[in-house]
Amino acid sequence: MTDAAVSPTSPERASVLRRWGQVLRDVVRRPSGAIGVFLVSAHIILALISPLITPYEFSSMDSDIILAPASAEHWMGTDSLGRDIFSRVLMGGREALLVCFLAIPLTMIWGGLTGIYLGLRGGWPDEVVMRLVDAFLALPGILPLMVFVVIFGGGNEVLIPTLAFFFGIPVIRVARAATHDVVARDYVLAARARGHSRFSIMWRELLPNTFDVMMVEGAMRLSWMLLTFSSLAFLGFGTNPAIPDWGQMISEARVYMSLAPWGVLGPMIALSSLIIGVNLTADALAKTLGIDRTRKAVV
Amino acid sequence: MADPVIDIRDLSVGFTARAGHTQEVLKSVSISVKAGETLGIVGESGSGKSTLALASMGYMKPGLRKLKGDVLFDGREVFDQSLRQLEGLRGGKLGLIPQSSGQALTPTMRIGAQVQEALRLHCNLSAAECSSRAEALLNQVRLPDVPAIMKRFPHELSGGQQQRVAIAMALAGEPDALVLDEPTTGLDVTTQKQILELVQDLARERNMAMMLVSHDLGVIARCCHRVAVMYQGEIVLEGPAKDVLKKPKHPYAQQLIDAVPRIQKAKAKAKKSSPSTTEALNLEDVGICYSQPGFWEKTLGSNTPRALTVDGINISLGRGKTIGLVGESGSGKSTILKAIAGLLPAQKGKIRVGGDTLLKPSIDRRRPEELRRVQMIFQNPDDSLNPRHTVAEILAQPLQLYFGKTGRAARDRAAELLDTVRLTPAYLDRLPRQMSGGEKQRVAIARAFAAEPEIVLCDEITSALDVSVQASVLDLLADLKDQKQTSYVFVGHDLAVVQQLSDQVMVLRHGRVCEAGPVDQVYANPQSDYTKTLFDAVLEPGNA
Amino acid sequence: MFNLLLRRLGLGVVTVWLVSVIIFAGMEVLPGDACTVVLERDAQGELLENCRKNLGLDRPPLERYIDWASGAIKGDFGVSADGTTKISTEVALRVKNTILLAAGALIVGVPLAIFLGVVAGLARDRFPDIFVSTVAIFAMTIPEFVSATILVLIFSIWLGLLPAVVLTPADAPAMAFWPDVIPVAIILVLVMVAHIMRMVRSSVIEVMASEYVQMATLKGVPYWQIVIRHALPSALLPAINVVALTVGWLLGGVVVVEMVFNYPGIGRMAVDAIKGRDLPVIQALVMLIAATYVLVNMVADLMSMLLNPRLRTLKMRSK
Repeated sequence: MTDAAVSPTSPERASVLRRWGQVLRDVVRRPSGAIGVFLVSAHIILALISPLITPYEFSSMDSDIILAPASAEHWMGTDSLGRDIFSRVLMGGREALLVCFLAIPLTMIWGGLTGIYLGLRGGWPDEVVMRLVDAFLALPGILPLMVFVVIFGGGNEVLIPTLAFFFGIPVIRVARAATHDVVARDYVLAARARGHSRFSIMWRELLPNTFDVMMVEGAMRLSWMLLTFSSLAFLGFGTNPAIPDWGQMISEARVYMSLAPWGVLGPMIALSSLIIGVNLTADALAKTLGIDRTRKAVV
Repeated sequence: MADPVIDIRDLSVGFTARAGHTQEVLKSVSISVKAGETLGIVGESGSGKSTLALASMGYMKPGLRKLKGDVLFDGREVFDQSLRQLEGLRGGKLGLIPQSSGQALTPTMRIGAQVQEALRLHCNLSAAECSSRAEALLNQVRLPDVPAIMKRFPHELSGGQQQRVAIAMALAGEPDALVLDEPTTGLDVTTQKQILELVQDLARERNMAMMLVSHDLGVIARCCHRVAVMYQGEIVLEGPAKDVLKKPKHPYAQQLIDAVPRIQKAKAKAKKSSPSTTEALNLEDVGICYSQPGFWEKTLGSNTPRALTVDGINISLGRGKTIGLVGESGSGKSTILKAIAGLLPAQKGKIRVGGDTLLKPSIDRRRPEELRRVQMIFQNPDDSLNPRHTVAEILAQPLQLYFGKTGRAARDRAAELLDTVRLTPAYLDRLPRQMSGGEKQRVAIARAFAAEPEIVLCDEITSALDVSVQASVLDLLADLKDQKQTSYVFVGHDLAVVQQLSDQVMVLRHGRVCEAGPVDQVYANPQSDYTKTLFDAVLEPGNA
Repeated sequence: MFNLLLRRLGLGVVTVWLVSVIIFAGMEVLPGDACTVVLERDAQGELLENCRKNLGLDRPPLERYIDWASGAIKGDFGVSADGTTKISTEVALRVKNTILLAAGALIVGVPLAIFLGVVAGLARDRFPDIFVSTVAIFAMTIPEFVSATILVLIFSIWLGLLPAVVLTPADAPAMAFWPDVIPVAIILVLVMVAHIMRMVRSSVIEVMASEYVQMATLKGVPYWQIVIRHALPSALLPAINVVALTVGWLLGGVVVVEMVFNYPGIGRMAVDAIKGRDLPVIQALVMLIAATYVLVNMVADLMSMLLNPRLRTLKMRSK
């Protein structure tokens, strides 16, 4: 508000890394951000070390202890094939995390760059691509993914590009809108008046100034992608059925839920805590960066 | 008469900046206004003048709180009153005319409904009486075709009309006092003059007390009996308008009043006008259409010829000379700048630089060397510097683009450039948000001069700055022109600022040239009626 | 104004057309067609060719697209891959069931969401807001199949109050779905309310901080009149679009929820069709859902244009 607040005594070296370090500190300072970051990092660490700490082989069956309740040997009981649920819950998030953490950068790069380019370029390419984007957005969320999985199989080499493609489409819209906000600013006008190339304007003016929006968007998309991935698994369109997955485990355990409700509890808590963690982090990040994405709603 | 209507005693207002640390926005302010009197409160941005105005109505922006002192209206403490009493007071005996009525009128309510609401709340009237009273009020503020206006929504009115509606609403409760918070900011000078006249007439008729807050000393001088000067939350000087404005007894007030540019009489301004030999910029019968055809119109080939927003512009500007473009909003002065820069391709006419080089209308078809010769400085420095780049990076851009300078060479040159705009090399590593408005505008000037241009286009470059900063920026521009023999095209709405810098002046109205000629001639002896009206409307602190 | 409406309508038509092209082209490009699915391992040589000839699959794609699209406009999507059922009859039954579900969720959810959003927005950062906002975060992030499982676990298995799965057949009359529809609708309402509520909240906060609300306060307007007359009309306008987008989500999200509860709507029908690789049925359902989405959003845009005084009086010159 006052000029006194920015007294010329702090010659601060502007480093992108330092800024994001500061942002992370501010995120963690919020209660929601602290919980979110804790949950997400706990999940990542567990996913990395889970093969080393599982008390039982996740696929080893024991027909003597089918649907056994929690005990000292089996902390979360056993499932209908006598497998140790705790071991399977520990292993169950690895696939989801792997797929989503690989797909999200792809999503943001293809969607973000396309959107920024279109926002700057305007004209007929913008008009044509945006109509296509509108059409793709009308396709009902999860169904096209299911079609791909049925036809090409649910391997990661199919799932990652497919998820990245479909999740990138709404990102085009968000990136384009963010670009429109920036393009209207005088510093972009100044760069155009100097005669910089379109590439230079994208790289120097637009990318740094839409980056915050893209980070928040990426975090939100990550939580939705995890949700979609586990929904696919729940509906039986998952990756390899031999590898335990939370969505798939819930779906299997639901069948005998009235007999052994502990079967659904473990994977449900694990899955929910991960998605809530990502969401809380995204929320805190948005607040820290001053981006209100609720107004722009669910697209 | 003796009792003040609004009486503020030893008022301090502040907010909690950090835990346990209170930042004061107002520091022990005491001031009062009597019936029939107009008090002016003047200060630069952040001086606390708006906070003071709102506090006199018992209102504070969220986060602020009263630390000590009293605000009395008609002898009663405002902050002690119940919410219901306050609701009766506000808009009743104590009216507000807000800063920008475009924002302050509820966008979803019709004008008639908003005025009637004010009446309904503060007077016991039947629905029919309400409606006729509302009409009478709107007539009183001299709005044309009142029945039609009552049916409109706020965005369908012009800025001046919106302000008149706000005045009508303030009058609804037959107030004893009015608080005016920058009532004419953002309005054209001629509209400003009309609004101030209206308010003054009404104040006289009703013997109201008025508290007028403004950053514009001209406005204050025009209307006020007494003036208080605010600086960083304190009243540093208070007294009768003549004394304060003519011979201020406080160094800050003196500085503030001296910094206001004034139109000088032609004789006093003995400018050495050496006739320039070479021509730097030439516009020949240029016409520009503001709305460029969109994608669909291009494709479908709509062949209705577009009306030219700006037409018939001829400029011949010598090396090291300045032409000032003046006019009210919508007159097309900024559009001409954009056409010269190529951001808005001219539809017809020729633009030449350096006497012979013909510029293509569109920027995409100009060569880098041509682009280098014409540089632009924008109105708002908050908006024209990339917030993610340091000053060194900002200055390096033209250096790299036009001269291929990178790394060490670019940084050294950037430091030199900062020196020419009187900033130290310490600023190289600063981000825009770590600088004040004036410093940012200096960096923007340095960026323009980094290209070593022949022509610099200045688009209202001082209007976002406080007066004291404005003076030093203008000074800097004049110096740079003399050093580098650069030519300026200077767009401004402040006639005094334009005069100070220009050799020629062009008065524009609705996209057409109203009058053009050497500055001294036009200012001393304006020919067209419009130019005369424009000069008439200028308010200066000297004419109190 | 009129031009704007017309342009929006035109955009809607173009989008629906593009959707149909994408769907048709997608099915065309993906390997396999109705014959390879029906014939399974026998899908080769003469048998395959005969089958394709019978179903008209040997004609050029453009011709088949025109056939399919003109049928779709009339509501005729042909027959399913195995050639036994007429798609439109089966789809009509399922659509009725899904509409029953979605309408129930909307009627309960939208007013509830707006109410909670306004309350939270007005009580910003105080107890009601913190409570509602926290619950909303949970409601919108927990996967539908998880919340559905919790619901079933508590209310069906432990308390025995609600049915766990829907056993009513698809062609039963609407009344027969009571009370089976309740748990299904609850899950939909939960997520929907969270989304709409969050948007309404931030919209209310923004409007309450606006200059015109400050002006109304300083005009002496009592608080509740400010809220109702000055703030809410502006604050709730954007809700129209969010509700429309939520309907879009409802159409996609309904897939999982219908599967969880075994509810015989279009979502479950789609999943079954995908599992059975019944391409004509998939095409029909995706087309239907997408067209509904486009339509709902178009209506929302048109409505907010008509309700927003700024847009309603927009002259074409100010484009």
